[in-house]
Order: sequence, then structure tokens, then C-alpha cells
Amino acid sequence: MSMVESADSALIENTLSGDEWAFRELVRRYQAAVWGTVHRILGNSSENEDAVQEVFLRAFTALHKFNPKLPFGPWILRIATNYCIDQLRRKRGHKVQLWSELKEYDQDRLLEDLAQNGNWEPASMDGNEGYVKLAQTLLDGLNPKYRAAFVLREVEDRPYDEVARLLGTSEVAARVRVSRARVELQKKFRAYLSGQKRRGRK
Amino acid sequence: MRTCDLFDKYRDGELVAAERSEFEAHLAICRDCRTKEALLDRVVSLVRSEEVRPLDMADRVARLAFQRANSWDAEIISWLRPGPAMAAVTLLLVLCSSLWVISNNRQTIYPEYEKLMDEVDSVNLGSRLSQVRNDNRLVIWQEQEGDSR
Repeated sequence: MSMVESADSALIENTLSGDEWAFRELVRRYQAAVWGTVHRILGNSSENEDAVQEVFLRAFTALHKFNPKLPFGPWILRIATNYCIDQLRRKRGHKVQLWSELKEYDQDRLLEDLAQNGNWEPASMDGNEGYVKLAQTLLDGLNPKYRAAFVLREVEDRPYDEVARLLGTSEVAARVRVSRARVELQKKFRAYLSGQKRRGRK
Repeated sequence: MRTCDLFDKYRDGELVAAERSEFEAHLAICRDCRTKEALLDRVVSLVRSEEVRPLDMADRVARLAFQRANSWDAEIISWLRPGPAMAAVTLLLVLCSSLWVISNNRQTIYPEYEKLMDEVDSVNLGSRLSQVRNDNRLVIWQEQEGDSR
């Protein structure tokens, strides 16, 4: 067992004995990882800070169930992932207007790229806030489970067995979700483009 | 199997060299797969490029967690946890068994008790208690059976 793991288990034990400092230290160690996962799955939102807080409060409430022989990181990230999926399910009703969220300049550049290359030309998009929003909005249109699987596999580059553990599902199911997310993203982007072309002709 | 179906394995780096070469040749002629690959690369790099601002929530979260843990509703919830719940069930079992023993003892004395009550009833046969309100005063009196006639 590594030093970090044993120190985590000591912090957990002390937290359960009522030591507030120990829990504070545990939060300090894992807040960046939880923040990253929450941010990538939920997208950039003003509610992310509340989400991170809620994840740690849930972990605190369930801490007596945690087996201190196991690493704490995957456990807290699984709580974070489940929480994010729940949040996305609740939010699904509030769909945003994809195109209208982009600045006019970004709209023109995107259309120009597509006209020239027939697809997204990576080199012309760097450092552009509008495109980040476009990517996030495409992700917003995905089923929450697919989105979480896609982010864990593609964005965070985790192996499938880890994605499966974090989602609390089988590896086969995790693969299916990622694959569907990829297909869905392409479909949504196509639908978005065809809608835009129709608008352009008018 | 269509070559397009190898997309996920290609994307996940799970193809052997020969299959990878085959798929790369396919990418050159299949616009669908090429667009999908470019789109995914772009979405991933855009999401990764987003700056995540640093934050330190440890003090606030720990304080809040312990505040909640010490509140009265958390005390109740804590009783639902396995340890306290077992203690509560044991306590309940002890209480129930004590009551059962007491009620059994009562059963053993019940015939005597009932006999005593029967005797009381036979003594007061033909009379009953009534309650009436009279000038806001509660008056209890014994009404002889013959009086009401």
C-alpha cells in the first residue's frame, strides 16, 4: 500500500471519529479531481461549485460505508459522476439555442471552414471561445449517460474498465455508451449544419 | 463487417497494425468516418482546452459537513445507519420481550382479577355511572336503577 493511500485511510478514520481537520485535508486532496470531472461532464456552469460541495457532503454522509482498504479517489469520482448524471437528467428540459449562442464572427468562420473543407478544420479554431461553447452545446444534447461515458473515455482518456467502474456498469455497456455518444455527436453536428445551410439559403 | 464498423476500435487504438492500415486507407475515401474523426478530435480538444479555474473549498465543505452532522435531523438519520439501527432493534426486542413476560404474568393473575371484578359488578348490579354537566360542574352520581323509573 502506498503512503498516500495509507494517509487517506488515516484521514478517513479520523474524520469518522469527528476530526474536522482530517476531512478538510481529504477534501483538499481530491477537490481538483472532483472539480475537473464535474466541470467536464456538466460543462462550464455557475452551479459547478455547488455540485463539488454536494459531492463531498454526500461522500461525508456515506463515509462509514467506505472500505478504507480501497483507494479513495475512484470512490469519490464515482459519487461525482453519478451526481453529474442526475443533474444532467434534471437539466435536459432546458435546451439551448446552439447557433444563436455563437458570436456572429464565429458563425461566419465556422461556415467558411465548412464550405472550404467539408468538415471542421482544427487549425482555424484554436483559442476560440465560441467553438468551446459549440462543443459543450453538442455534448449538452447527448443522453446524460452517454455524455458521462464519452467525457470519461475521450476527454479524460480513462481505460474502459475504469469508465465502467466509475459509471457502475459493465465494460461492454461502457463501450456501447461511448460508441453511441460518438455517433450521436456526429448526427447532431450534421443536423445542426443542415439546419444552418437551409437558413443560409433563405 | 463494413470497414466503417471498425471506427470505435480505431478510435480506441485497439486495432492490430494490418487493420489499422486498412482503416486509414478507408478514412481517405470515406467522408463520413473522416468527418466523425475530425469532429471528435475537435470536441475533445476544445473541452480539454477550457481553463478550469483553481479553487479551494476544503474549509467551507468540512465546516458545512460537520455542522450538518451535528444537527438534530442528522442525529435521526444516523439512527438509521447499520450500527445504531442494530442497537435500536435490540432495544426494541428487549422491550417487547419484557412486555411479553409482564403480560404473561398478568395472564396468570387474570382469573383472580376477573373474579374480583365480577364480584364488584354483582355488588353494583342494577346501577351505573353517568356524567352530566350541571352549572358547569361535573357531577358524578350513582343512579339507582329503580330511581329512573
